[in-house]
Amino acid sequence: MGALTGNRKRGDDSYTLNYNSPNLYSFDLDRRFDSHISKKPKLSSSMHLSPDRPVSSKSAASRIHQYPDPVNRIPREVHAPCRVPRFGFAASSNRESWPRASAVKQKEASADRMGNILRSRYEKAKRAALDALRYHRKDKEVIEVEPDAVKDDVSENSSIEEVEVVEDGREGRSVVLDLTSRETIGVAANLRELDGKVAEQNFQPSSYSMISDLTNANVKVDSSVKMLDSSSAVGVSIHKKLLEDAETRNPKLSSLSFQIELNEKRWATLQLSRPAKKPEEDALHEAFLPLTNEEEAEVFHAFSNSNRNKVLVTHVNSNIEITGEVLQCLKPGAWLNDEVINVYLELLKEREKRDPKKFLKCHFFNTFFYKKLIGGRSGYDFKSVRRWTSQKKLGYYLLECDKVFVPIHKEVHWCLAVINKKDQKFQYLDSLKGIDSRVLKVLAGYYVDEVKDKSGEDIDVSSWKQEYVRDLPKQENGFDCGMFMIKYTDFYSRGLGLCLTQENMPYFRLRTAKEILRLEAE
Amino acid sequence: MFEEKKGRYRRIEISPKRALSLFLSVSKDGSEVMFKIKRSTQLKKLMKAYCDRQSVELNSIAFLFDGRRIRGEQTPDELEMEDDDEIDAMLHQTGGSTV
Repeated sequence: MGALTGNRKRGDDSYTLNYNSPNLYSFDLDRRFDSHISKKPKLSSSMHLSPDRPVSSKSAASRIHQYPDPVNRIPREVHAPCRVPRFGFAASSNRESWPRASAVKQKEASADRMGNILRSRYEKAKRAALDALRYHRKDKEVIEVEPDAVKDDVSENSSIEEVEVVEDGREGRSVVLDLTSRETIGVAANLRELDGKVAEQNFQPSSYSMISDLTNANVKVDSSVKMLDSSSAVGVSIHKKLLEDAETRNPKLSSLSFQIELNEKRWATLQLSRPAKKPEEDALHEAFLPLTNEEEAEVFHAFSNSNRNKVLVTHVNSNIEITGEVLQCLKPGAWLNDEVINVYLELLKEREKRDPKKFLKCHFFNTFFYKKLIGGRSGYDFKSVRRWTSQKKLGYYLLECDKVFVPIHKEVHWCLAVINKKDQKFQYLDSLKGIDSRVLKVLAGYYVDEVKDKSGEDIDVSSWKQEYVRDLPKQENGFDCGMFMIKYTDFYSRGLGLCLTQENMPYFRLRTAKEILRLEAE
Repeated sequence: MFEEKKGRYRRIEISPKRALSLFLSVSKDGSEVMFKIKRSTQLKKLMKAYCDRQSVELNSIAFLFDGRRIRGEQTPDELEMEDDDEIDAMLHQTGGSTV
């Protein structure tokens, strides 16, 4: 309908136009009358609009000849407007009056938009990378991450140093710790490397915009006729360039993702190495667990003279009664007696039974064993202690034990001997660094006899090392040897090194008193 | 004389409620003192008798049976002692350093 009215209007216009111009009126008058009947106005209107229409066309043949013209016209009239929505900037080339600069600007803007998509994608990847490393950095600053990583390094190192101080002389573990610290530094370095790459990639969008500027400049040089084609060509080339550019980043992105994966794996291994060292740390922590105020008060109360003749606790399994008087040997400066030592060794055995995974399988002889063993006329009496270690009495086989602890009492001194089946050696520990070759000889003989008696097997311990442990915390007074002896036992049964010193002894005295009063060693 | 005594007791005490002969040995010099005690009698009695004879304080000595401490209230029955079993009397020990 609209088209029809349009046509009619145009027809009217032609009328008026023809009417107003005397030239047209003069030579078109006859034809107009004819055309009125043969729907001439439609043709005439189209003729008016077409600029290249021959002015004089009177014959019907010439009129028919004109028909192909509209066919040619269609691509121009229909196609051109269609371009506008598709390429906003391309439309400008259709009309030369349009300012060319604005077209360039539009192009730039669109190019920037494209760049932004890549950039945002890149940012996302980077953020994911950083998040994966659990350094929750949301900003792009390269510099800020580095101090963070360095800080982490420092804290990691300081914690390690702390442990190393505690673990004085335990090289094996410190080496492991060094390794982990080095790994941590490696990860930090990787992080830095990663950020370097990030920075590098950050520069890319700007260089890209330079390229797009260049293409824009080229576009400007093109003639206005070529503008349409060239701009469409440039449109394609921009896409191509963007694609190419994106493709050039692909290897970098893949390398980045590889880096992320690598770092994640490193992190995982680091995490794995942490719980590995935890049990030992826990054991160490447990070995130096401080007493609460309540426990201290309990111990000091037990030490008081009012409890002297009172039986404070009775260890039922060993039938040992601990009176206030006996316990007082744990007061600072006092010599330890056999009762306290024997109860404590019983508690160590119970501790191991309670938690067999945490402690080595051990047997703790009491303080009378060695004396009994070297009794008799020959100075070696296996028979007198043969029944001490029957399976029925112990509930386990002595031969199964990794370590057998033998307290040695020498007149007024306490030492420790260890039958170390785990490492195949006999050890002698004297807090005053004394040497007694007889003890180890007797124990070697005893172990052979014991194995023969209980299992019927003949074993050869001549290859077993007899070790006088020199690298041990030394006693620096005249009363703590008993404490040193039971603590050597405690630490060895935990599988720990002897990471204790003379300074720890007052604490260990209180702790041992507490453990005896509670009848539970920790 | 020692053997005679032992043999005589054995012959007489053949019933299940027979007295039990125990050998006590003080480890210091390996000397042995023999005691006779009923199965149901608390070992406290034996310990006291031993200390009186040795002229030592009761609480200065630890009595062990197969390496385990004996409490005075325990009886030979309780500890499943048999004839000719040995009880070890050990002097209490203490120590702090070498002199």
